[in-house]
Amino acid sequence: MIIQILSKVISNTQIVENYFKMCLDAPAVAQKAEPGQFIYVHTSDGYQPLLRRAFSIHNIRREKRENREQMEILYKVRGEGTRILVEKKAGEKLDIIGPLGKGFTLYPLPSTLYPVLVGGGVGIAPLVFLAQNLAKNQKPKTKNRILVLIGAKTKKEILCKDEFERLGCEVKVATDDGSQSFKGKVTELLEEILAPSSKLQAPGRELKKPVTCSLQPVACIYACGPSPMLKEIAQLAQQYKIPCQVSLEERMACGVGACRGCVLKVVPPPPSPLLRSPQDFIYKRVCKDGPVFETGEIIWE
Amino acid sequence: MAEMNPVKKVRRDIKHPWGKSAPLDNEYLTRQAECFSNGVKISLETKLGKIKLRNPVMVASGTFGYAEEFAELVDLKKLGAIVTKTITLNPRKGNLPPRIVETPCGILNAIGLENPGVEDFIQEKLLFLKKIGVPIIVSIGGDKIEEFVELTRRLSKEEGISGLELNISCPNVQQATSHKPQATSQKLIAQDEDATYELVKAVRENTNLTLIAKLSPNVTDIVTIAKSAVKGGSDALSLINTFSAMAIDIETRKPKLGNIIGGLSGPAIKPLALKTVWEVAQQIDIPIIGMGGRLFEKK
Repeated sequence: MIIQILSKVISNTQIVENYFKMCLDAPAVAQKAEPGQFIYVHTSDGYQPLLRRAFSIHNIRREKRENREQMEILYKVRGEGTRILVEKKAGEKLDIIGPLGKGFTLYPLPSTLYPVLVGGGVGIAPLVFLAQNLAKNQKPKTKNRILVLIGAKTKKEILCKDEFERLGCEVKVATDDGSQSFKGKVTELLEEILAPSSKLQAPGRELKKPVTCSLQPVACIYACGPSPMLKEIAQLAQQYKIPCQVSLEERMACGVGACRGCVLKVVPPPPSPLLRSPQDFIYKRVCKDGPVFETGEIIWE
Repeated sequence: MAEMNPVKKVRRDIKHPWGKSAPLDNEYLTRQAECFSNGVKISLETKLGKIKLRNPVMVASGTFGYAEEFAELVDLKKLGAIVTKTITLNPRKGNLPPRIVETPCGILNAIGLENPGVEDFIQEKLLFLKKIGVPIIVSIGGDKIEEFVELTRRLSKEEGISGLELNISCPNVQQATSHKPQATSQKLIAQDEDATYELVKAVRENTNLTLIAKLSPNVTDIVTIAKSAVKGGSDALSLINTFSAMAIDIETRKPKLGNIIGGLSGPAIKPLALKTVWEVAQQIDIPIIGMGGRLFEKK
């Protein structure tokens, strides 16, 4: 059920430079939300900007005193909408619609295999909510066997490390400038982890940076971040034959699948895969059929 | 309700201080609603050709999908009528993304009439629409008169459709066969008075359903085109489709839309749309459905 409400801003605080966390009082939306879904926020009170802005649901927490579920979003200030959002104070009301879209579908996993969550930049936002759910669904024996890879430009921009650790996840960090932990892209870090436990490593590819990780082998990947990163992850998932879901970011208009504005090229569904030409595709809507997609169906540009 | 949905309002003859044919405005509706809440009964009933509407608030084609997308968010029964996203004879994939660009107080779109085609529409979408209980107006589009006629015949056989809106004014359609971005704007039917007359007449001869021609503002004199549509047998007019427009990314120096050009909608065009409605209303006597820049606002 999709709901439109005026929700009260409970807090809106900077966590690191340019990154903010906003907590909203919207129990009706929070109760129905699933990891990977988003809310659609009217940032301005007028016509500028006209369109709502989509934010993935970052965290659901239960406020003890009033026993209400609160919802958090994590955002980076980068445009007109987010610049308005930064100014919102506790107590102000915000027009939101949600929960929208199709979120992550949890893969059923044998107890010897572990999921890996890969987040780049602000793309880490929906993965906290996902990790909460994964942790909740795990059997006591396998509890807390979730690997999280966080990608950031520098040490200063590492997001949500504490949240994941509190959930009992094993966290690895990659920074572009090497200011903390692994130096390089988070996709390189992912490959370092996938390769040793697999015979599917690309020939001639040497692994120079040994990464110690207690959780191997990896069973599935859930990722969110900038599109070039997701494309690389999709390639790795295909190479190592690991099921993988990614959450895409796309500019939207209606947010509910009506306008066909935010489409993505995907492989057409069966029944005729043999008759299909390589150029054949269909469009799916990122806002309604996604934002989470299996990487196998995406046709990358 | 999402911001991109302009609300149409049917013009009725209201005694306004500024003249008989002034279009309905928000203020007027608000005043009516106030009377309503004070226990004064006012009928908002309106007629469009043979269609009886409980109130004159409609949704513009393309902004509301096939209504099912909004079913959880909006009480669909409260609408006066629902106009579907445009249907063509064969399925259309639509244009290359990006298809939507935000502009100051507006939206530029070049969806390219993505739709499942008339047969899938009847089998999948119409079933839901029929059950809502408000008049359903199906927007139809095509490249040639023959396509409009065939669509009209096919849809006239179905129950649950009250009227057809003739989309002869979509600024974003390319030749159906090519799937490359293409900037050459073909002439629209609604940009030619003879073509408009021929098309409306041909459709009129094939159906008893209420017909509404949707006109383009991208013309020198919209009144001439409106008169052709009336002469052809249109029961009402939808004014207006989007304004042909474009946006460029100054960093990449490339057009922002995959289709290069698109159609502008939103509050930015409301004064332009209003003037068109006023202009045409001076000259013709059939109802006008005004649209462009109208938003639902929840208070």
